[in-house]
Amino acid sequence: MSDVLVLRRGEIHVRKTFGPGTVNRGAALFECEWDGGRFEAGLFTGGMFRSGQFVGGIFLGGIFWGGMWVSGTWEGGFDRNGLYHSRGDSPAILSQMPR
Amino acid sequence: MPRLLIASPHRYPDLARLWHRVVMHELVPAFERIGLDVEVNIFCDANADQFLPHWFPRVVFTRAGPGMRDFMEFYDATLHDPCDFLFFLDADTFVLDGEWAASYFAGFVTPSVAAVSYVPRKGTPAIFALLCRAADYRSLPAPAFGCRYEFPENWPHGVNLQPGEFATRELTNRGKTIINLAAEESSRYTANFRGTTGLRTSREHTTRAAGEQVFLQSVVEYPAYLIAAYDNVLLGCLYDSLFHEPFALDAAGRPLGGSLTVDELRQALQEVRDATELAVLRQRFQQSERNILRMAAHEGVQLSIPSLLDHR
Repeated sequence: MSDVLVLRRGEIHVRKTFGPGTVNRGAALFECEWDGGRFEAGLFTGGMFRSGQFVGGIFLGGIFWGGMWVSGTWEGGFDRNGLYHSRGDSPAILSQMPR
Repeated sequence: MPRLLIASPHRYPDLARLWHRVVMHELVPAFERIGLDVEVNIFCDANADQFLPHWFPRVVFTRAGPGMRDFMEFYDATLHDPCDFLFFLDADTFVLDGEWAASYFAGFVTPSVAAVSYVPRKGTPAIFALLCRAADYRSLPAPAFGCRYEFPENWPHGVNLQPGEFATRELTNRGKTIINLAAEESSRYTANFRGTTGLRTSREHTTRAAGEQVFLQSVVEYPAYLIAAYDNVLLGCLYDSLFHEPFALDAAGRPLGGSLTVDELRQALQEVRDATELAVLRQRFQQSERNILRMAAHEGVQLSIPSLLDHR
């Protein structure tokens, strides 16, 4: 039995927390906390990306606190210092910012 | 002659046409009559090729690009345009009485006055309709207008400063004054359809990332989306009446398909069971109807508004 939770396209999650065993393959997450796991596709909006990998999908209006930005679409959001970064910014740089 | 720049970020040319019509009819002549040299700047935050110049006489367009990648950067970049005063006016905010707006310009004879906020947010100054003395805002550390999230470690209970709120706080700390018009007065002279652009943008992003059904589900989760969807229906009625064209088309050419079609909105409203929520929606819908009817009366046109909550 696998401990991996896979979120799929067509799902919507609001104000939930997802841990390291989660993979998102296309769900929409509204105001959620992502703490570990691999975000491969889908929408992350208004939440806290605490740790894990952002590999694909759209990041919109949340806080990129930590973790690794590999690729995806940055539509706007905040770094861990609360500063806003505009569309097209490079979250790969944000993820290396000092705590 | 002092220079006034009226500036606004837009994503959708149809809404911009409504905005431009009211700005050119009310604000531009009223501020010119009191001796200002007025220029109008529309920032095309998306869909730049759809902003046809002949729809927007006297407008200077700015396109997204380096240093101005989105509307947030537009605010600060525009601050450094050659002007003495800067009037930021949201895409979905309409000032229906230019004389009223221009009458507050006299407040700038007092050197400590940095801005006039015509439409408050929760009782405090906001960027929805903000007339600024450019020099005061230029003296602030950049980005002066951009939003910030203070105490992010406390998410989701941090402080989400909206565009312009940081500037208001900094200027106030320096002894400057923002003339803050109360909501009651503001509502007599302005009409707001807040969130209408945001809903259309949300449909684009959510559908692209997670599918259309997810977007339709998300609308039910957030009552503010339902209000914005209804506001787009109303704006569509006015748009059709003035320009004889459909509003907020989607890629398939469905009227309001870029927001919520009337049928989709009707279906979403069916999902709302809570009586208190329905009462709030009914009240907000009526408020929006009054606003659009004021705009229609201003234009001398009749509207045919579909009923959506009457049977609930």
